[in-house]
Amino acid sequence: MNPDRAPASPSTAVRVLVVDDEPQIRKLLEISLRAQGYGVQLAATARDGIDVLATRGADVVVLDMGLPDRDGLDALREIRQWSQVPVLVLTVRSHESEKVAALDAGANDYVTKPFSVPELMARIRVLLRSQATPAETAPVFDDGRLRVDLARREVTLAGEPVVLSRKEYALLALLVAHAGRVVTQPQLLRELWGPTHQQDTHYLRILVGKVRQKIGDDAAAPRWIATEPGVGLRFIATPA
Amino acid sequence: MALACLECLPAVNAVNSHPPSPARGYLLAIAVSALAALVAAAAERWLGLSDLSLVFMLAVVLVATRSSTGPALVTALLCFLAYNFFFIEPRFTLYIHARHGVATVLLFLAAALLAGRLASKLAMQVQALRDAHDQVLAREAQAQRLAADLQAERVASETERLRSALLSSVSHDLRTPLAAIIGAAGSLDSYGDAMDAQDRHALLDTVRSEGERLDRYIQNLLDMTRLGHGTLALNRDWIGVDELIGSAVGRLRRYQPGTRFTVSVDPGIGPIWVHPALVEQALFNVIENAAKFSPDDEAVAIDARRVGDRLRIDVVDRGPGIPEDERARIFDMFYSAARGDRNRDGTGLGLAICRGMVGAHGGEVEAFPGPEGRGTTLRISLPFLEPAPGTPR
Repeated sequence: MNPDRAPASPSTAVRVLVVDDEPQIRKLLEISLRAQGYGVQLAATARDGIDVLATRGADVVVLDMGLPDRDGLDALREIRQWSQVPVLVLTVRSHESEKVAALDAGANDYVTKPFSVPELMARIRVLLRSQATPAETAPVFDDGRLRVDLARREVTLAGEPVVLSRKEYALLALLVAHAGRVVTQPQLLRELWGPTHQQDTHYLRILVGKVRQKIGDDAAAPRWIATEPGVGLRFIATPA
Repeated sequence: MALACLECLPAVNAVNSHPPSPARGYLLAIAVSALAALVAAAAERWLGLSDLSLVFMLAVVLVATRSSTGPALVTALLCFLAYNFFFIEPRFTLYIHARHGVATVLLFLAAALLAGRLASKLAMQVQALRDAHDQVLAREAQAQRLAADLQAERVASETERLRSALLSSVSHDLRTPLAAIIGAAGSLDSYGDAMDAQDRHALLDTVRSEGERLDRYIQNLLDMTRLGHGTLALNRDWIGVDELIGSAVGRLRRYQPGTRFTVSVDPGIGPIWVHPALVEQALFNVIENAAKFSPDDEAVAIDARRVGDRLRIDVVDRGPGIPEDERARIFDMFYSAARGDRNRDGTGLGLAICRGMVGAHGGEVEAFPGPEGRGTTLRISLPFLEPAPGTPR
């Protein structure tokens, strides 16, 4: 078993490692995470964070992209060489390319600073849940209206089967498999068309439009498939 | 014939050179006389005696036109002496037949006087012309200097106006939320135990919403700086118009859950080739502005359609509207109309940023009165462009 993936049993608190150089943010996250029953470890630099992760392990890492000693992206790449621990990165709003780079370097999700604590907690829960679900049992998404069965490759809307083309289904399945997390545009293009079609973003827009239309979603007021402009798509698992 | 030509020669020269000083005039007289004597000596083989006198006459006229009467007279005398000494028999003496000699001297002197007078009159006229010309130039230069001064003054006052607007905006828009945050936090710290849950929640809500307001203001300042420095690099990509609207509306809903929207997007609009995050921000700013002025019980209407080869997004609020003479100015930095002061969140930057970001895409933002003259329609229009073939994203 992966040493940094501790079993999330009730006796052992889920451990969250927070790597951020701002003491105020560390304090805020420590208090908030403790209040949610998580065990918290703190690090102020990339070096310390990687050391703590290597020696003591963690179930989730919250990693700030703007660290003083080292580029956050660089630290993330190093972690990914030997650990599959879920990583949530903290980034700044206007840097959409940084978000894509972090996600493509192995981050599991991102939260934009300044973030709301409930939002951060929700993202952490999504990461822990997807981590806890063994990959062998393909999940079923069902919110009472839309049902996506990844094992049977079936999609129904209000009980009626939805007929999707192969590509349309592949897109929906990919998003549902990452429910609650953003899937970057480069990743979507890679998985749907292969690595040589990174430029075909026009097809992607058309394809997303068709899937939305068939499952009765509206991009202008999304219920399931939300667009994060310049970053990618996110399947909203629990509509607000 | 030769004289006629020589008359115009000094006129041309005089424009370019100032009249020679007296000393230079006399030097010229001696030099030209000597030259005339040499030329006459060389030409003696082919020319008769009377023709040779014309060479000296030429010299006299030349000096007269190039300098003044004094040197011309000297030239006339020198030339007469040279003519007499070198060419009139008996040579190398100054002896001549009185009649012949006197006539030559008088002719030379008359030519010198006449040409000298003509030349100095010409020189005076040229000088007058030149003075007038200089005066015109000076006047032009002065006019230009005045215009430049005026322009500099205008730019300076514009900069000054902007600077003071920025200062007052920073002090107001940074301090107001900070005052609320500090006050709420202090109040909670000191009296929180004595408050009921509802009051505590209200104060905490103030801290959060004012913090978010501060964040939006700082984001605006940063965006404005990026626009102002011209460092805004467009990273175009295909994005659905409905996706842009969905993102901007969703983001605003998180700040202001109470705002209502009616959105209509023409289903025929395909994706558009723009920098997605920038256009989304521009749209967000317009929608935020509309939400700010919209009455609580009325929805903000968003309508997107294709008009010709352009995308047109209308954002309509049912607020107090904008007087016609202020409509163009709402896109100026730090401009905020003193209209319906409700919920004033007056950074005065949002629409300027919107205009900058849309402008970078070759589009425009305009303000119109709302339908039936109620409220305001802010219209973003963007060209539908195609990526150049083979452009890497």
